[in-house]
Amino acid sequence: MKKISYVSPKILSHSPIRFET
Amino acid sequence: MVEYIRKSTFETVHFDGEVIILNTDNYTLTKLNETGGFCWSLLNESQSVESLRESIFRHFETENNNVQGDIEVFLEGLLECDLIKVID
Repeated sequence: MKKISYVSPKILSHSPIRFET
Repeated sequence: MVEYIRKSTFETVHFDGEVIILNTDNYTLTKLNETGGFCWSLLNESQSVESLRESIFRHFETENNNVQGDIEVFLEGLLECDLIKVID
């Protein structure tokens, strides 16, 4: 089985959830 | 050896090769790339940097010599996002 090429593990984004009334 | 584990049971969505984590404790959305999502899937059980590195070597084809450094930076980021905790 061919392995997947490695890329560095990354956090692409981190943001608060915006609530609207 | 320091070990890490998810801080809580977060909702996780796999979308287009990325992983989106919904943290309902502090209302944040965190998006990870595919390798990050792979590490996150392992962190439902306690993992050390070394155990994550071994899993990555088994699962991915890599000639990168700095996998351990990548994992350390990634785990530091997850700690800052309040998604994982250190197990003493």
